[in-house]
Amino acid sequence: MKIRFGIGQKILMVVVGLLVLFAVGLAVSVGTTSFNNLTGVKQAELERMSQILAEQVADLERDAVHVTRSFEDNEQIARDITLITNLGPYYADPGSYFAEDFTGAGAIIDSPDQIYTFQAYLTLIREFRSALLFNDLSSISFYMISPYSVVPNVEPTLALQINKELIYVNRFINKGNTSGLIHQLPFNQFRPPTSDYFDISTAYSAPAEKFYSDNNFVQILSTIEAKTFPIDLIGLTMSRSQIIIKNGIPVIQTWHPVRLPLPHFETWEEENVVVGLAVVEKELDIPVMDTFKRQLGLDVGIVQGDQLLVNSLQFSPDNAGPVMGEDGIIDVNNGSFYFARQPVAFEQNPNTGLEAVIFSPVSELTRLTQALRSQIIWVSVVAIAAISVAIYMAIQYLVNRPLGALTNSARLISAGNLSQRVAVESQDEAGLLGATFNIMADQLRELIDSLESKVAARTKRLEIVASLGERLNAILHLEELLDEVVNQIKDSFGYYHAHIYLLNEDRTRLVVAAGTGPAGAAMKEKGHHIMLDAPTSLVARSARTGHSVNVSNVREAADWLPNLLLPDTYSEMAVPIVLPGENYVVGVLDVQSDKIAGLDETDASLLRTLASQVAVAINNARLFDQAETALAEAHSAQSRYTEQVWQKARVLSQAGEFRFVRPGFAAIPEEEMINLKQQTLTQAGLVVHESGANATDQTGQNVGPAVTDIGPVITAPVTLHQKSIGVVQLFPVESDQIWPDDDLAIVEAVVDELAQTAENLRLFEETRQRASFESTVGEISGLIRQAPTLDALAKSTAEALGKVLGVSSSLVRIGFSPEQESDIPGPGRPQNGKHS
Amino acid sequence: MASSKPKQAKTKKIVWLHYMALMIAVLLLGSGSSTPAAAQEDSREAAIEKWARHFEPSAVNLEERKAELRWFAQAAEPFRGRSIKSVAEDINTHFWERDVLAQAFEEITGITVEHEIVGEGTVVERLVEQQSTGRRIYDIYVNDADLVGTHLRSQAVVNLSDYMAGEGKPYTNPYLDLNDFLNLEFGQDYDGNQLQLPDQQFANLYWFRYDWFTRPDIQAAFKAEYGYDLGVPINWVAYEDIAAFFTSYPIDGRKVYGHLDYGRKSPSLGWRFTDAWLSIAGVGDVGLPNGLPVDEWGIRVKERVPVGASVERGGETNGVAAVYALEKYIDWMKAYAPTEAIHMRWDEAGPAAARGDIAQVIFQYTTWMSDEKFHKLGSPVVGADGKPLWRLAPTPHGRYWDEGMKVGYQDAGSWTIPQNVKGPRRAMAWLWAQFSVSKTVELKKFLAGGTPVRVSTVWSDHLTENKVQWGGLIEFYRSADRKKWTGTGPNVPHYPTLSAMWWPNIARAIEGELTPQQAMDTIARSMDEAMARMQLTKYSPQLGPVQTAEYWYAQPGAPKPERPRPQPQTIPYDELLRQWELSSETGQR
Repeated sequence: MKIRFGIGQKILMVVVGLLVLFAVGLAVSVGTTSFNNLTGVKQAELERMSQILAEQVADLERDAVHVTRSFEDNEQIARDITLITNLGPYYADPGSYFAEDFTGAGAIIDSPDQIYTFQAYLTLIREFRSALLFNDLSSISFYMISPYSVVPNVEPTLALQINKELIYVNRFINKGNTSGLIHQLPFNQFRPPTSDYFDISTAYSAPAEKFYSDNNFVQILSTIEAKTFPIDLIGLTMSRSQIIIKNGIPVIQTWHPVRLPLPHFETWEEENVVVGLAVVEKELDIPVMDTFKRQLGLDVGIVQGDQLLVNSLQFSPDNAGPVMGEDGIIDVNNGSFYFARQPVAFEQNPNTGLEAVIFSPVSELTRLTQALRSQIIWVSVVAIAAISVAIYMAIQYLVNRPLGALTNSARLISAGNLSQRVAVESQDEAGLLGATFNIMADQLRELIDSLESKVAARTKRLEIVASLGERLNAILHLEELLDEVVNQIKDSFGYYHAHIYLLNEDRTRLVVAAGTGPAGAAMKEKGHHIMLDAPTSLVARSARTGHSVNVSNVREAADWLPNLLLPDTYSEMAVPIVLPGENYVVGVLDVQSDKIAGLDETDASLLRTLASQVAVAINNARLFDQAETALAEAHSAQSRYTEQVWQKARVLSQAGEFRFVRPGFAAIPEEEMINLKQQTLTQAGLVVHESGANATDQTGQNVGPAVTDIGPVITAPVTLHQKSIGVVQLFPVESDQIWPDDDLAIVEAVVDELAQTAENLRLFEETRQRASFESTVGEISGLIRQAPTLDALAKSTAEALGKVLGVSSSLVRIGFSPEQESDIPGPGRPQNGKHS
Repeated sequence: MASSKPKQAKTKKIVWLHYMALMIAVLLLGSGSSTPAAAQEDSREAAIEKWARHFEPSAVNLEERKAELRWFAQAAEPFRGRSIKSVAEDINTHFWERDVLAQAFEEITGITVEHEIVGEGTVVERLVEQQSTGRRIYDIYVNDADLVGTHLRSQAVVNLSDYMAGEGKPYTNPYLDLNDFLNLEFGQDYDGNQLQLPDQQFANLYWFRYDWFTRPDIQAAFKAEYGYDLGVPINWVAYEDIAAFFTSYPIDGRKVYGHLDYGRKSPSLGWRFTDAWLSIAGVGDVGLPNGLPVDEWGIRVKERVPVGASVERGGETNGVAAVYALEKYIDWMKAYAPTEAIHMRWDEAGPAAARGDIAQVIFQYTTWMSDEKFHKLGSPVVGADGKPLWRLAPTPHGRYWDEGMKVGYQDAGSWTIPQNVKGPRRAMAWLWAQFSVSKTVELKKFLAGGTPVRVSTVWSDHLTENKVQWGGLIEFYRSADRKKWTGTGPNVPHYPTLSAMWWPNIARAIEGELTPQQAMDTIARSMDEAMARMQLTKYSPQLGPVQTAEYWYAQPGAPKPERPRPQPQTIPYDELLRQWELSSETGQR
């Protein structure tokens, strides 16, 4: 069995084959090169990630700087720092203290001022606590200094510190004395006082220590810490940061000189002066490392020299030692790690001595390579399967489906369903093919429809032509015939105008014989004609050549002369009218259209057919006319003969007139009788002459004057061969008598019988006379035939004729000389060449 | 600490330098040479001369004025070139201080004063903030003496008596003459310590159209209707009759009103009540300047310690007299005042009587009498001769008022120095306060603001000659009756807190949301609750035991049980004036 593959299946097989080849090649090449490259890539990635880590550590420092700077911008914090500066140990608002009040360490800070300071501490703790938690800082501290160095060379002294375990505040007691009373409070026991806790009277209502104790602050005897930042503040204008190691953990320590407006102690003018130090610390501890690890997806650490200080490897630095190998691999926790390190630099302190380290396990690379091979294989299998399905579906959708639809449509069209179309759903080649197919189907349908309509039109024309031919054959009069022809042509075929020219007898001119509408009538009346030799006339040309002439746009013809009666003519066709079988042109059928190129070969064929029929009809009409003429001449001759013979007869039979007068009635006057007889001889049939009125015939028409006082008189000519040979007159009894129709019919029948009988009698007489003649002739002939010679013959003949005919003399001569013969005309010779 | 000695040495050195500079300045001043210091001295003397002449008229003569101004120049010498900030409420007197006195003070003393003018509410708010937080906002406040009860309990303001005797002695004006002040007692604590120095004061008085009251036709019509003479009403019954009469009696074909007040919901609505209205109605006990043991707020004290405001604790804030006061206030405003009055604030109603269709005002702050609307020729309340057609008279009192009680209010804006203003600033603030109330300037200041604080001012020849221009104000301040017009007394332990409870509830009563009884009950309960929470330095409130209202009404004094309607009483204004003049001539000065 032979398997047949479609286009889609063939494409699919080719593509799948290529994919398999590609996948195999990819697996081989990747498997070979990946392991080699991955190591380098990994190192590069670690380098890059270590830079990111170093930048993130630097970001922590920038955040810390931002926090310290924000203290100046925060109105509440700035106000409270200003207050504790004013009420603190190292500065005196020059307007609030006389000089003697600020001398020595013994000047006690007023208790209300200590309480106001405590209030400010509480507000600052609330603000610092928010900043601490929000920025995940380790601690925030504020150190007092002496603005304008009112107390010279004073070291920064801690006023307030807050970390996530404890809060410290320093209650200063004396002016100019740095020793204060440190109080502490567990961080989670801090409760901001209610809004009405401090009132107008509060600062004056109790000693300061009461407020510390009421808010659970406990005095401690030890100092908090040794300062780890430079205490030389001269020229300190901006934030600085450093790395310090606390309990083996690196800490970003940022200190910022807080500048606020304070009156100068001499000028009282307010200047922005450093009033203290805000110190922020951020530990780079294991939770921070874990945070970086989550962000970067790799283990991280901080290194100082070769010492790994902190890391996210679950590796205790206590066991570290100098473990950062030269080969970029570190062995910890029974595993080996690639690593990359990058120095940590702060904006104001590029040399922090710390490096940010990124770790990546070596085993991960091995696993990665193995996994990569497996993944390529599996991915290839899945991808090839998926791609195959996708290609199959695509071919089905994009190729097979539209081709199937096209095939089906073609099949239906071939079966005769010309309305079948293909659904075009895309703009691609398949869509274009479908659209083209539909155009072809449309054109096919239009072609068939056009052919059918043309056949129908032509059939209709032929029917019209046939019908017209039948009608033309029924018309025997030429003029009527031609009028019918042009009108039928114009009306049946929708031409603008049609007319027929006929050649005159000498064939020099074409004269309008019939035309449609007022234009045709006018041209006919004017005797419009065209000279046969007119060089520019298409009518004349058609007549001369015997062929049709068609001009599609007469207005473009250089020598075309417009006909004012036919203003809308655009195209014109002249068809010769040729007598069938004789190739003899008798005229031209000229048709005009009010459209450019309104007449084509179809019209020419049609008109030629019509011209042929017209020619036959013209011939028939002419033959008919000739027959009618001959018949009329025969009738005329007979009539004249009848009249002659009857004139002779009436002379001979004058006595044949008979009059009957009913007894008791007077005879009609003679002159009246003669008058009526003369009238009757000229009338066509029976007439009743009313008394006092004109005579009327049977149709009621007036035929003559009335007969006076006689009453209605019937006069009837006795007619033979349309000639009156006698008269019958009947006079009424009463002048008001009415002749019934039956009487009139009787009179007519009697008059007809009278005529026929009279004719029979005359013919009998004539026959009798001819018999006498023939007898005479026979007799003479007998005599002649008996003559033995010519002379005897001549003599016998002359004698017989003289005798029979009673002539005075007779001459008979037989034979002539040639001279005598030329003077004698010959019988039956035609006068010219024309056929007639 | 190891470094403390060098620091102390350095500090001493700085102080020594300060003093050296001062001594050199003094020497230069004394040398009379044509040094810059001498030029400065000349300039200062010129300023003294200039301003001494400027402050004319004055209660003291030119030489006395020069002497006083010269003392200010010398006392302020250590502070030349320095500046301080003060604050006061927005009345004419303080604007004049800002525009004239501060300039004079600077030219004479070399101390620049930024005298800020804000609303009274803001003054108190910032004072409270400064005292609560220790943050210096101003160096000195013109704070109404209504807060004296607060100050004596907070101990947060400078005790001026102590200061004048001690640290402030070099800066205390020898011409200050405390006895010359009209009502020095307003700023004193229970022991007579001066906590505040009066800077300006104005009373609420009865204001009326003298020209209408003295027209025979109107008098006849009134008497025909009410059966007694039209005159200055002595009690509320008469005031009510007069209010009803004028409200229904068109004058010269024009509708007039028999009453004017204000009722818009705002803090100033509370002032209207806490200043004196309840005392005028008769709330509280007999006693001047304020009733004891129950004052006009209805707060009872026991041995200077407030023990309650509600009747159940012996107070009278919601007693029948207090409810009567609120009822009359609401009834009269709705019945006899122009309809727009209920939507006015105090500063809108203050000058409104000058529009010409008001016959009488029971509670007219006299500070508005300095408004030109009351004096300008062409004003409907000024005659063709330029003299006022109105007069001021004692406020009529309610049915619960007894002889010996205060009968009106005096707003005594008083210089007050917070405790946290110390050293030179305190001294400069004290100099500025004394300067602004000095005899040299006081009469001139009265003419600008109509708020006298000195006896010498109201008895000055100038005002004697021109007293008619002040419509009885001068006569009032010269009379012994002025002692009956006092500020909020020392019984009120925390004015900012307690005064805030009044106006919202009074507004609710005006709007009909609460009955007058419910409104006063709410105020009394709120004040008791607030006082129970207070922890003031001295004489902090301790609420007393609760007793029935009947128990307290049965006790003598406040709270007082219900009283019947008294007979209306009026007095001819001229007779009243004679009585005032008589009292002033009998040694009340």
